[in-house]
Amino acid sequence: MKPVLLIAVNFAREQRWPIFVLLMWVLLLAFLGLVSDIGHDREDLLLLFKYVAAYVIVFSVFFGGSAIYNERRSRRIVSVLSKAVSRQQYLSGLVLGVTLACALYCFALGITGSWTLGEAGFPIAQVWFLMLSVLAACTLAGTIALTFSTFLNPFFAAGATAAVLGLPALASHELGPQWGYVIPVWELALNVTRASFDSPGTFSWSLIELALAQAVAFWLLSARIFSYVDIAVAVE
Amino acid sequence: MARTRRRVGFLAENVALYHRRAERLVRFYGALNSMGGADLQERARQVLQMVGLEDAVKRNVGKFSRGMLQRVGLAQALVNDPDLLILDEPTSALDPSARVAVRELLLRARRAGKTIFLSSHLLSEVELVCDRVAVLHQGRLVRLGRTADLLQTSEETEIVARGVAPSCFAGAVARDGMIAFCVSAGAQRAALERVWSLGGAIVSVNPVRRSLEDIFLEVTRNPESKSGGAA
Repeated sequence: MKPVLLIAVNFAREQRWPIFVLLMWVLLLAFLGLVSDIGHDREDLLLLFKYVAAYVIVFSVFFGGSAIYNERRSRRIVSVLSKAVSRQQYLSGLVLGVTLACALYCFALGITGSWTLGEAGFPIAQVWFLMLSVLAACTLAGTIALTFSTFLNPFFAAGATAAVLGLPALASHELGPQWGYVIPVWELALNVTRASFDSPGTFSWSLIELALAQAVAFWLLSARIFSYVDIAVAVE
Repeated sequence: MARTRRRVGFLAENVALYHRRAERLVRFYGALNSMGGADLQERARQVLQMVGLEDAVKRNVGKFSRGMLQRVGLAQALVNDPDLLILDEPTSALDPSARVAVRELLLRARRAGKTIFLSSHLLSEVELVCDRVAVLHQGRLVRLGRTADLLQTSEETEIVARGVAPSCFAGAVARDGMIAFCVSAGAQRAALERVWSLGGAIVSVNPVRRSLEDIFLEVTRNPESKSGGAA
């Protein structure tokens, strides 16, 4: 477990600048909370909160989709995998790293959201549940992107991930809501985007559990694929 | 598998490392090998000292020169005190003094009973460090053997003499008032007698010790004829 944690923390550390840029959005929300009349502008604040929450799901795809490619291109992966670290542990570290990077963001957004939206009458518990939904969506989206990144470059990995996330969303819209459960990232995102002061949503753990279970399945798949990849070959 | 890997140290050619302070970086790689605590801290400092980076432990690796990177790469390979060291061109980017330091480090490791698998194009380094040598050519093993045996398989003898003119012997070169020339083992006795008959004196008679470079060129130019010793 120790190597997994080390790789995860190292990954989050390597992504510190993108995380920093993302946190600027949270700062913007906090700033608006400070300077605006929260009671009057609460709908605008909630809209910004929902947008800012959705961004991190997109970033999780970029984090996951570029992780292995960047490590292989820089050849840093060679020295890590030469240690007592299995490829499965390495991928676990990356999945945990993506989750950790997103969790940092969700935590900051949760704190800011609790303060701004809580003051405007939005249930604070629901703010944290929405953050949990976003984090579960990030974990699944990041793991799917990571799976594709084991054999595709970041551009195609992001495209393939967008297709995998988008097709069930399209199917749920066209064919019925049950399709939303196939890859529930879209459904989890809808939990956030549909939330309003009148209807903040209810606690529903089933989607979060389903997303985490699917993340595990994709992680196992990625480990299987990655075991066949020759990491010594240059990726350029 | 993990237990076996803990006994191995690896340095890749064109080493690439995370941009961290040197000591933290070495500790990171040590921790990946399940090391930890004060032992790891002490060991990290020790290996950085061994590779001559004791003054740079707090500096970020991102600002290191190519040679310093190579040395910190070597430090991460050594941090777990491995029984088997696999090194790919460990001295390629080093200045002469650093190269000597690394060579001494490898010789110390060898004396301590470590197995070192060294891949290099610097054949003079290989000659000084390795007990056994394998020559690969176009992906095929074309020569394998003990370094000492490979270097002394020549059947020629070098004769150094004084008091005779270089023109008396084919291929003789003048060197510090003496002449040196090579003869086959069968012609050695006749050559010595000829030196004496011309009034000269023999200074030395030694088997020709070829360099690994000579052997490499020989087996790669004509690999088929010399591949009999390949494993």
